[in-house]
Amino acid sequence: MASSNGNFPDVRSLRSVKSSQTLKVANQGLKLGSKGAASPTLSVNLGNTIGDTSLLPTGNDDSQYEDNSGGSLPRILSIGNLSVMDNSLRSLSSAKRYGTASNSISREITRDTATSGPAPIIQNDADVYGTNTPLNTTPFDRNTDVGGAPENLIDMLAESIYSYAPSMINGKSAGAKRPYVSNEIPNVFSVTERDVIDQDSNSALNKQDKNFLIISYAGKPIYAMHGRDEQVVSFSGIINTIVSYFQVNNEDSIKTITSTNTGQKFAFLNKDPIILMAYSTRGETTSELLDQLDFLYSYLLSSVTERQLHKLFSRRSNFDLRTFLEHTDFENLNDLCLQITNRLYPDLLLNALQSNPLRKSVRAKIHDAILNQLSGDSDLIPRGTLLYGLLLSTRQSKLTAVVRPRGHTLHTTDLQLLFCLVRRHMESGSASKEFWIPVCFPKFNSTGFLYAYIRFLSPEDKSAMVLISAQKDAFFKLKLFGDRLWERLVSDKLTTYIVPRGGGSARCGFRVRDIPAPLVHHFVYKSRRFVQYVMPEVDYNVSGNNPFLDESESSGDPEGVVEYQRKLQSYYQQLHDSVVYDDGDPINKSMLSFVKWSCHGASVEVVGLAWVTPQFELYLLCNDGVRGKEVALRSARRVVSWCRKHEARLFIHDGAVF
Amino acid sequence: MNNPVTSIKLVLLGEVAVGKSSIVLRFVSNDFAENKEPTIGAAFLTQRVNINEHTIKFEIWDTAGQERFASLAPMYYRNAQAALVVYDVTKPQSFIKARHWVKELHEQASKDIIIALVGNKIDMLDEDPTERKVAREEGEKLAQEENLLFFETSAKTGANVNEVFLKIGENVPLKQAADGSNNGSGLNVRRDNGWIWQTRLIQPRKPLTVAAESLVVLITKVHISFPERFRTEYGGVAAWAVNLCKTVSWNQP
Repeated sequence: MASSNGNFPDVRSLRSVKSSQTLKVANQGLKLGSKGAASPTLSVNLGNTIGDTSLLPTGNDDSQYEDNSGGSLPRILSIGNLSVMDNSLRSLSSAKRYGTASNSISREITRDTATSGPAPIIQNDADVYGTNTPLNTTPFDRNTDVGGAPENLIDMLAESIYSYAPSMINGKSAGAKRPYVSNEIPNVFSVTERDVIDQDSNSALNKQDKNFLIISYAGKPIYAMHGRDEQVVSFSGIINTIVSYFQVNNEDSIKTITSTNTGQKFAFLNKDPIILMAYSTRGETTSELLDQLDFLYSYLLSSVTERQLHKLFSRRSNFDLRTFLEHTDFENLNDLCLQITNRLYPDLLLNALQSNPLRKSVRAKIHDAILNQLSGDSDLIPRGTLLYGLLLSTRQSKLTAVVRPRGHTLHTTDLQLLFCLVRRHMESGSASKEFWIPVCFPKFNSTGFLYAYIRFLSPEDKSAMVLISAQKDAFFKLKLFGDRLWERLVSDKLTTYIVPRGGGSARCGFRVRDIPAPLVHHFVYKSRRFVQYVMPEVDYNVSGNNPFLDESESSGDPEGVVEYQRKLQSYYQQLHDSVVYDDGDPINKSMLSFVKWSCHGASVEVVGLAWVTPQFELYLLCNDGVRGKEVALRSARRVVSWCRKHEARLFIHDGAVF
Repeated sequence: MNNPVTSIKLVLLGEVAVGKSSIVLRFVSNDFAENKEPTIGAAFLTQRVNINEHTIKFEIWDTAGQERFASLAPMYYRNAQAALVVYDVTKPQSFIKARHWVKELHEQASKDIIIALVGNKIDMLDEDPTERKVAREEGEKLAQEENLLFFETSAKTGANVNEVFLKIGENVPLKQAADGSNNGSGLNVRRDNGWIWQTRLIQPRKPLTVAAESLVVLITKVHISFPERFRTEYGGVAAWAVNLCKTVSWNQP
């Protein structure tokens, strides 16, 4: 506790500085947050402008709120049962997410309890541990249970096994319990339209719970995830005004506007000559939205480069970037937006890459093969031709092997963009081709292009080899190297590990059931040291399918899988939010946080756990029916000890360094 | 049998979405995909063609039609022996772009480069002849002025696609030295009495049953390209045979 107590006054002082800079427009229910102070005159204007356009659900009157976004609001509403170990930490934790507006929280609770029906309520049951609590000093000792006798565990297990037979959802008593472990967890989030990036009417636009807009400084629309041009144009004027007002008056950019009683959030990323804005009612933190915007901006740079972008706009500030971007760019932006909003994509949330689990010796052999080939072919590939090489599986964007020069790694964002690019090429079904693609890695060098040689190894398993060079005419050198490397991997019989035959997903990756933690539904484990994460293969089972079938063979319902992924993503996003401040800083270096979601009117309850330490981050969801924190914690320990034990297998340590 | 192998470096140029990648896909895999993703950067493919006693290895650069990548184009056509300048017969703009490419190639590329002007998507004219926005005569005129080969093709039906490449193959001086071997895979072309027989040796991954084997023989015999005058009547037959080829499932014995 000593260290957290020591930390706390600093944090509080930070908070108070922030709140003094926070401007509330009381009658509009809008809160403007920026780093600098704002004058009250603008805020009134602002409120009026947004109110008048009434294109976005601004939430300045209640009826509109009910119509437009009432259904799509993820309600993190009550902080019930906040058992915090230190009193001073309590205020810290509650202040963290909800800002200073504790009044508005209580208001929301009443409103929510008033609306009957299956509106989900999330109970944030957060325990904050200091760095020296017994929990963290002995995280892997299974003997130190936090109460909960073994019988209790068995009860819980039984409950979990029989928990989610479909008959129970309909309210009937579970007379015919299904004798299999449910691999379904309930959705406590409201369902919104998925995957519909259409150019629809105003009302459809208002129903969206998330949107991304990219405009130029002169107010010209560049990209909108949802909404037609004429709709977007009216926004761009407003956005432009807001952003430039703050810039003129504060020399710093506006970050967010939050409407506390509707849960709407507008995040701005000012990248002169481009402004990006995210709108969301999903309750993400500001830093999360800003990360997402930065990801989109990075994509733009990867396609155009920063230098080109500035050149285009310096020539003519009202340049229409859409004429310069290509059809592919908009498709890719759509794809990225979908990936961010409607898929299980922890990469961005955790700022990490997913690695492909492989036996340590196998991975070492692959890396050796690459290095040997590289040194053997030094006449073919003079030093400096190859900058970076990757073997990856794009089915879930997993990294298999890395070749890199000593002392250099590519930034995670750059790799994420590269993965998306490769995945897009893979989807276009052109496995027989080899590609030579100019791509800018914005975090590596935002002013110039690198060239990526992409070769698909197996269309079924979506594996690819990517070799990156700075020389634009190095294609044939890299191609020859790629050919020879592949031959060597074939002769060393390593290809089966890179491209598992028969499409069996069991051999690459792992399942939840491989881990001796029976009550876990799904988890994400990130190693901070390697900036990589692993998660079990997503087992999706449509209710009604034979549960004894291998899920990889029975996943015949892509719609359902998407829905399921999105549900997981929402859970993980909220779990992640429970351990960070709104600006993305961790609340504590080591921390354990339980979150319980429950749903009105249905007997569903989901317990999740976020466990953050300087070494790892674990986000874990328990099966439906698990109600005890002890059980969740016990499972979490088992997962962590399993991941630690298999660290060499799960993560790529150094790669092949030359 | 050892055939001399001639490599032809070939580059496809043309506006975005005129069907460059589709033409290549038809030539290399005898396949077609609707609504293909646009190419980014460039894609590299190879295809062997056996013409009588010669083997030609096409090394194809399928470039992106996007303006942004135009600055990279010289890298692809610098050492090319042949170029396909593709336009869409339903889009006049793409024909203007094709003119530009022809001009640039004449100025920048090697002097003896063989250029084929290709008007693609003629299948769209079957449904609605008024779709045609670039007259055949316009293309022929440009080809004559600039000394180009000229074809109108459909990557969708496969009409005339292989002929473009074969004609280029005829025009490139063939190597006489035996510096490679012909393993019979790829496209085989035999000229016989004015008929051009194009066969494609299919190498199934699994052993074939006797029935399947005879079917392959049957299909390779049907899948021929007809001389110009018969094409309209029999083009449909060839397309049918190609489709049949694709639908046959190989059973394990």
